[in-house]
Amino acid sequence: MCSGLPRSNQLTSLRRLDAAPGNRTICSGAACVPEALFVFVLGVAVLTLWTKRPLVEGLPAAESAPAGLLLVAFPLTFAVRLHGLGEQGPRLLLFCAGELLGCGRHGGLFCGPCGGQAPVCPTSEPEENMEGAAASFVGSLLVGLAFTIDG
Amino acid sequence: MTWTRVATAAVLIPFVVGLVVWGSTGWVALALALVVVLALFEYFSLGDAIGHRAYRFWTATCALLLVYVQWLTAIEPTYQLAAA
Repeated sequence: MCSGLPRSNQLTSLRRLDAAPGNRTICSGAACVPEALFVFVLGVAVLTLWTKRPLVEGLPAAESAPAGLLLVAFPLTFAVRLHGLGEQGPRLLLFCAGELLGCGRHGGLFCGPCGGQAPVCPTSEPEENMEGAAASFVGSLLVGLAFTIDG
Repeated sequence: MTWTRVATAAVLIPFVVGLVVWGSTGWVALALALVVVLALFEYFSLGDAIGHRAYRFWTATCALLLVYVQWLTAIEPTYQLAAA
């Protein structure tokens, strides 16, 4: 689907970029992310307009489906791109997973309830507190430090 | 609840680390496709609670298509044109 034109400003140019300014990357012919998203939008339009589902149900569905794809699925798919970045790819993927989940999330999850006193937003997130956020931040720093020491 | 999460993490973390470090990009893409579909259906179950019934099958299909496209992009060679 990519026509062979220079696409240095698009998502497909993430891999093996040369640091020299002015160099341009060519996608070699496989399908690209914008085309997949375009197919998805076409399908949502068809499902919304040409099915027997009433619009009062179809419009919220047409709102929820792109939100799920863009907020949940699309960021996760970049893990594949990270893993494919040569020798450093798996390390980068482990770093991101360790930062986001290993310490960022679980640091707050376990340290917050143990001694947290200052709530962040009691109305919407009653179990979150400032001590958990601080533990999450420190945990993320520790993961970054560990990757720095490891080389 | 907390200990369930700890037990799940204790089982899954070695598996995920092993897959990422020693597995090929194709295996990572397959495992990620499973995670993406599970996460999407969890998200849609949240939407069901407020009456938003999304197009589950189509969205999951396109999410798998996105994973496939990202895998293709990860394994295909790209070429550089040097600046004039």
